[in-house]
Amino acid sequence: MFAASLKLIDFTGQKVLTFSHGVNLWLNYLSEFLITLISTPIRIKETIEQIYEIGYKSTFIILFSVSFAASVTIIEYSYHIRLVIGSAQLVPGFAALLILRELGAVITALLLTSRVGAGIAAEVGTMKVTEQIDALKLLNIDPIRYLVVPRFLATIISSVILVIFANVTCLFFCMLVSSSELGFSWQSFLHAMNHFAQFKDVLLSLVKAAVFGSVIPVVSCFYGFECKAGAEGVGRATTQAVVTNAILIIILDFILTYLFSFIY
Amino acid sequence: MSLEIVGLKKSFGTKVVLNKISFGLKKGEILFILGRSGTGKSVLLKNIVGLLKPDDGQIILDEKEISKLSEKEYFPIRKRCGMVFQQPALFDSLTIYENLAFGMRKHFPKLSEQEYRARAEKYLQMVHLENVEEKLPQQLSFGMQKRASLARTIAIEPEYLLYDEPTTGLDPVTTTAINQLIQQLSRQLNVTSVVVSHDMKCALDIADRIIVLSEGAIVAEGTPSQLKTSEVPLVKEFLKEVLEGGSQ
Amino acid sequence: MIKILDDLGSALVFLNDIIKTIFKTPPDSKSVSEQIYNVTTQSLTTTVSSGFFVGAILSVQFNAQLKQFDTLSVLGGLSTSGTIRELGPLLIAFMLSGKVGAYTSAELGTMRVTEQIDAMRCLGTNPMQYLIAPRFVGIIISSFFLLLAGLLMSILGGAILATVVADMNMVEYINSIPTYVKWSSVYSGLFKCFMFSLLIATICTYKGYATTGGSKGVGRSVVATALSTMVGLTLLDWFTSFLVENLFKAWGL
Repeated sequence: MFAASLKLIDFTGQKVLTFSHGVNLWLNYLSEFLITLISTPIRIKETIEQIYEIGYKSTFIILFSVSFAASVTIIEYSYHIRLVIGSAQLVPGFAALLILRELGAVITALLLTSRVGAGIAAEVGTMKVTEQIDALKLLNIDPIRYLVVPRFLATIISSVILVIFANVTCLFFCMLVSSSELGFSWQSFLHAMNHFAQFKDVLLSLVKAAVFGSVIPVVSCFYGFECKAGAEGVGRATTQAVVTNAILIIILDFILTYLFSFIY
Repeated sequence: MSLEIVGLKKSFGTKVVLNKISFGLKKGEILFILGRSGTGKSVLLKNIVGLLKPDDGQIILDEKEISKLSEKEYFPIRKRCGMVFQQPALFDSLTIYENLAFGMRKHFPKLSEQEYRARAEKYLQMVHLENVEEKLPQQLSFGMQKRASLARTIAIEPEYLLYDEPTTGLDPVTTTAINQLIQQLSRQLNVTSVVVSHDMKCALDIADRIIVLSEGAIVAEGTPSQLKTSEVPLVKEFLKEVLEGGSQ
Repeated sequence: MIKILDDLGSALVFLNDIIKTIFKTPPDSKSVSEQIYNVTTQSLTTTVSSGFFVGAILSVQFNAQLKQFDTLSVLGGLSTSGTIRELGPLLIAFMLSGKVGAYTSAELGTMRVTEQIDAMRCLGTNPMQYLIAPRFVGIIISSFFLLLAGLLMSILGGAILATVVADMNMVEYINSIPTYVKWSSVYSGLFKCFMFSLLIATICTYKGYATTGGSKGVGRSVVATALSTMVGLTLLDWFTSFLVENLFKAWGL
């Protein structure tokens, strides 16, 4: 009994230690990152390269996916509005609101998590296990300034631009589907949408995009830097990056949605 | 029993890795296949055990062409031709004992659990490992993992042992130990060994016969003493490295 | 483009192989239940918490839209129905694809590049049967139930947030659920959950098994798994929605 309780205490102690160790690593990393971000000049060339890598190369796949998501949303929405209110009149407005306030930003961000978040973690993780990060340090190059900051800025910029494109694409596909399936003319769709959606909805969706975009590279680079040696290490780092990013995005989305609900 | 490779050809995309390789094996000998990295040595071994299929040519085991067989028909051949991989390739969720029993259970399904235990212990002793049965692969050093992996292969009692770069990435002491093991096992178990390597020194020490590959073709063949007098540039280069290594 | 089609083709061939293997030699229940246990314990927290937040987010969104029409009494029905019919399965499956999909492809990819899969074949075991089939079946079963658990949590999340933002009585909220959530919506949600589980299981085993090229290759496989699963999920979501709508119309549900 005594031995068992000692074991339990030991076990709990170990858990607390690993947890506090993890928190410690995170805090160190974040403070180092923030200091580097504000205290050193930005490397414009790398940032632009990363915007090309992260933003431009993800454009097609993201717009392709959100166009399907938008088509489903309007179909589902028309089902619900008919059920609840009994007329399809409000469908365009409501669907546009849901896309601008919620789906455009969150689905784009989740797709970026896999395309960009996992990509960065795998890239940085591979650099870590092949000792490229150590080589950078020996050359007196700060890996945070060289790797994290450009990706951070590039992902924020790309995310905002992609969400603008995604919103436009979504609304366009909504319009297409509602004219073919629900019998709205394009003018009446735009009119109904205009009645509901406001400019601040667009602005707030861009705020969401910027927040999500800032989370992804920071988390992914962290797991990349912490990557353990071998094939197993890279796989694990990439997986953790995807999962942590996705959960953080859903939680942040909830917080932002809740806060914005006072402004809507 | 005999194993013969006739005109074996394999390419990946436009890159020809093996270009019409032919050689035979004598019973009980240790054959070294030497070549620079990326000259298709590992590919050659994987073709023999059917992990890869050749584009052209034949692999003849006991007068039977085997390279066109299906995965299922390869089962008895893989029992006869055991392969030791470049990496330890131990199943990392299983203990060392379970790793050894994995192949035995498939190839000797009639034995009892005690017999598996006894055999596992015997083969682990043969590679100089003791009291590691209940450990997980990650708990052993790299050299020990290599030896455990070797034990797993000999536990299915193959007639041919195919080693893929057995000493790559090991320190000199472990390298010597592994080489002695290869020699010792081939006598003890009376198996025919094929060792793919780029280590000329080991080859000169323990090989009965050496084949040198370059750009997918055989450029030299012979016993260690024959090769020492060879005029082929690549062989001379290899020999020079050995001599320099010796003088250090 | 041709590369994508090529990949799609190989994935389908692989799926066909798995199904053939499963029917010829069904994986034993022990290894399947081991997989179910692994997947479920790893991912339960993720799915349940993301389910809660998805429900909460939608509840807040629908509340913001319905407020101006004085129709708050339908909030429970609308947000529950909206969650289980479409967004719930989709968003929770996104989470699962990261957790289960990426994990499995990393695991299989590591086994591939460290030659464990080749070693297995050399020791006389078919990896399709020993590794892939139990994982495939296990992932389908556990993902399906994880998605269900996530959906149930999303209802709870929606209800709790409705009491916070809309000042609703929880009982009132829950009472409005059966009025608007039709059985057809439940079936549609279940059907989506099943299809999504199938997609996740296929892509992660395929991408993991086809890994080449050392630790870099494992990273590449995980990225490819995460991306193609998420894109696949949005496409499948669209496809099942249309399929379900037309089927239910045809059956008069």
